Amino acid sequence: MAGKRVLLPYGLSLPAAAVLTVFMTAPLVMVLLLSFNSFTMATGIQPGFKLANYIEVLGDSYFHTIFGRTFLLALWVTGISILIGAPEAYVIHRMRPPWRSIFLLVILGPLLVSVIVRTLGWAVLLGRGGMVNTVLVKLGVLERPMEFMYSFTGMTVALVHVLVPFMVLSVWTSLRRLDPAVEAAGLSLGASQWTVLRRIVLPQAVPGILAGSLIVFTLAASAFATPAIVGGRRLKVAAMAAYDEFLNSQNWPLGAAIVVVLLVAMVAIVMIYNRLVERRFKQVFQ
Amino acid sequence: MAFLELHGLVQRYGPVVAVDGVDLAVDRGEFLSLLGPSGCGKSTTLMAIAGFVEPTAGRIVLGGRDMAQVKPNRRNIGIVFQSFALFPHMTVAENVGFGLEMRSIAKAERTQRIAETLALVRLTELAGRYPKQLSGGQQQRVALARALVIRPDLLLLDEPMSSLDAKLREEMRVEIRDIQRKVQITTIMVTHDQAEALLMADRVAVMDQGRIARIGKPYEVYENPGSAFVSDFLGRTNLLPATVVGRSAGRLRVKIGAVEIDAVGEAPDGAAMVSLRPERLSFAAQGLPGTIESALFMGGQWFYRVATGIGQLSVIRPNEGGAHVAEGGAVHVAWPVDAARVVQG
Repeated sequence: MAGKRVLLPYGLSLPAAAVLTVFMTAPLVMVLLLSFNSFTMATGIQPGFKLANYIEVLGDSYFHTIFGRTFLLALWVTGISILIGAPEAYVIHRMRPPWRSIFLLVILGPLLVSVIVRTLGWAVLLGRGGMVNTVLVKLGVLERPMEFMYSFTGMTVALVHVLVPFMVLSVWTSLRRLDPAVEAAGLSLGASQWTVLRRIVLPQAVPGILAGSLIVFTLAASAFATPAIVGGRRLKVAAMAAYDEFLNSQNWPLGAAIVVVLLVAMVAIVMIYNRLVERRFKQVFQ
Repeated sequence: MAFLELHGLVQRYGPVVAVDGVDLAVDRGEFLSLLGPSGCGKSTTLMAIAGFVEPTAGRIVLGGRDMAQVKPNRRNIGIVFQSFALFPHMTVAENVGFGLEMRSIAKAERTQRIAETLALVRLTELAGRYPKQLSGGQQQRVALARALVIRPDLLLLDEPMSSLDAKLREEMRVEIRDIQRKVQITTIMVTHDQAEALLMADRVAVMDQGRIARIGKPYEVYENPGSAFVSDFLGRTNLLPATVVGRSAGRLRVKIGAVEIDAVGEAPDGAAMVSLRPERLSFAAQGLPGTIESALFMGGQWFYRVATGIGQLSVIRPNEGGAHVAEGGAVHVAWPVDAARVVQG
């Protein structure tokens, strides 16, 4: 009996483990192995174990620019998502019952629309003859239309729109655990509303902000469709570079090396960030 | 002029009238308890004094100053919340020091006052702990220290014991009362626990449906409740429908069923209620004949239900060891004349 009990959890996690192994671990290992192969136009993919692809990805300034752009974009998108999403979550948290559900639905709405459709919508809005430019020119804010499309700004705006719901949701979840009386307690001790927000509410929302930024950062750093449509060919990000190597240059090993570098860098950044924030706000994570 | 005065306080939420004209005067240093069943308006009254809800009508005057235009964070009122509402990301010392920091009090004085207040609530050793590392009773003492350290004009306790277990609750009642006497701070406590209110407060105000039904010293209110509601809410009682049929020498003659008894109180002739406290009834050689329907042992006391000519009576007798009256036994129930009190129905 006792033996069976011990084995039961392993047995129950077997289906999930099988799915993960077949569809996640195996492809990753294959990509990893692929990245050590070599490729020439004449011979195609040659099996082997060489670091040439990594030397190219890590040494070439072309890839430096692409990775720099990718992580800068992810950083900006995460930062702006915190600035927009956290206050938005607090506003929703303070709403009364019927409005709260309505506005949550409004925020989740974009997630119900396909990424491609949403991004094409941004392309229409941000284009040279698009609504944003037309309005800004008509109002006299701009003298002539600005280039939002195929720009870093445009990519950031479109990605923030796609990803901010994740931030709102995760901050809102951590605010729901907040005792409503702590804000009243802060006020009664003489703090202003602003001080209460900064000193009492914000620290307790940190776990939500952390979880939200991890989701937003990883999704932004690995985003493909939005940067491809809004950023275009000139402003490549890592995911697009990998796509190009796989499908345009047919250089699968080099594409695989890009993917591995992106993955390793992302895991490292996420872990360091997680560790730092948890150490700083130890108490609210218990 | 009293230190805290409420004049005709009314609080409406849409069609719901939570507080329906409360007048109250509390002296400096006094401990007043607002007591009542849930929904009687006691918490709303407290929140109005704290400034978290804006009264629909009426005035709140604290220390001669009208509070209408004073924001909650400028009222200098210390509050202990039902959930304690400690700041989970701050240590005990930081929690207690928060109010001092908001008052821009210099570091040195702050440290000293935090230490003094923590000593008052016997938490000196735990200054560096976080709220989650404390027991319920310790958390409550932090909440009390945090409210007291700012030297508030008024201390508000909102159901302060309700999240503690029974044993701890009894200890904290005495401890909080002692601390209140020691620092002599004007205190208003909201509670639905009549034992707590009677034991801790200098005066209790029993609230019912948004109004104060009875206010006075605990002993007076208990002994002379005035209405059937108050007499039933404060402690146990036998409430018997009666008719006032005559009066003589400060006594009333009332008829309950077919039995006529003497009672005390004020009431016009006609229908009324008579309240008989179970602990003032006893078994004697002479009196109202009855039969024991049940005898329940409660440790310190025996709780009897007796069928009599005026209805079923609850009787509580101290456990003095030895034999008790068995179920089914024939008894005579007796009481001193002033135990039968006529109250308004």
